[in-house]
Amino acid sequence: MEPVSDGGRNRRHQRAVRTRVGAAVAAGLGFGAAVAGFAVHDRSTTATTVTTSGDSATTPTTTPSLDQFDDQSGADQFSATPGFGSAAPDSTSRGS
Amino acid sequence: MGSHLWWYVARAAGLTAWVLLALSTAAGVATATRVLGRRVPSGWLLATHRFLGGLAVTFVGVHVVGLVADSWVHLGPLDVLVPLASGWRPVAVAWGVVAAWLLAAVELTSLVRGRLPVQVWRWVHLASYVLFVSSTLHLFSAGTDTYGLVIRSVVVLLTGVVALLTIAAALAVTGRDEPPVATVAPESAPGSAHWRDRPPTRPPYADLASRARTPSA
Repeated sequence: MEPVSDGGRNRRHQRAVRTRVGAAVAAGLGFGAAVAGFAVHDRSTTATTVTTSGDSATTPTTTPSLDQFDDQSGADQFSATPGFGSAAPDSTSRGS
Repeated sequence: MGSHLWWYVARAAGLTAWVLLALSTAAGVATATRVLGRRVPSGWLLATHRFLGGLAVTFVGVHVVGLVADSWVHLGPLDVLVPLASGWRPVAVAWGVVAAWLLAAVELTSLVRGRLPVQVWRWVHLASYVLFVSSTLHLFSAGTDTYGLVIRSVVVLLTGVVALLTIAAALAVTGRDEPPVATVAPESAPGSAHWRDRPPTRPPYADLASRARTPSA
């Protein structure tokens, strides 16, 4: 086999390996970042906030946490909650 | 976070799988149409297409396992394996189930491609378009995270890329009077005019496989 061909083949092989490693690492990092992002985002949306409504009334409101949906029903309530999008769990049989 | 870890894992894996699926589809169509020209080597593009497809299968597996393990939406094994069996958003989940089965079919037939009639592999592989549409519908109908600007932008961008490449592939098929676009591995371009004019007489990817030195996917 000619050395030139081997060199070209090796370069192609190394490039393919680099691509695979890069893709796998990028996918893993993206996955990890998404998990962390969802956790942080959901935590922030479950935090108690204080909002002002009307002229002077200050109304403390609490965005429902995941657990609080155990006692509620319907997708509409859940889908209206920031951070949870359209997820609508079964309100009667959540286990955890 | 601990009590909802599987819920986060399922969501993140689903999103990651869709992105990988979109990239793999784009790479596959680009390989078929040679729309990127000589700037991107076909062997590299094909190897990337196959690797991304395999990676997408992995994350779909994580997505499914996460949904079953999670206690938030109460999806059992049957719910994620049988279309419309889910009690939670049955149609939205069904899009994902169909997409998962199609992905499995595409990957499995690619793994045993050498033992299958080319026409069978070709038609199953063409189901990738249905797979992509189905998974995108699943993402928007059942996905809970497509409302964020970043995620929505990525989804729209990748969908646009796949759509444009698909249009290019369709034009390559209809442009029968012009020289074939796919000059390398016409077997990998089942939708191309070159492929239809001259069906492969040897195992698909034979030449590229020797060049790219990649395991079959």
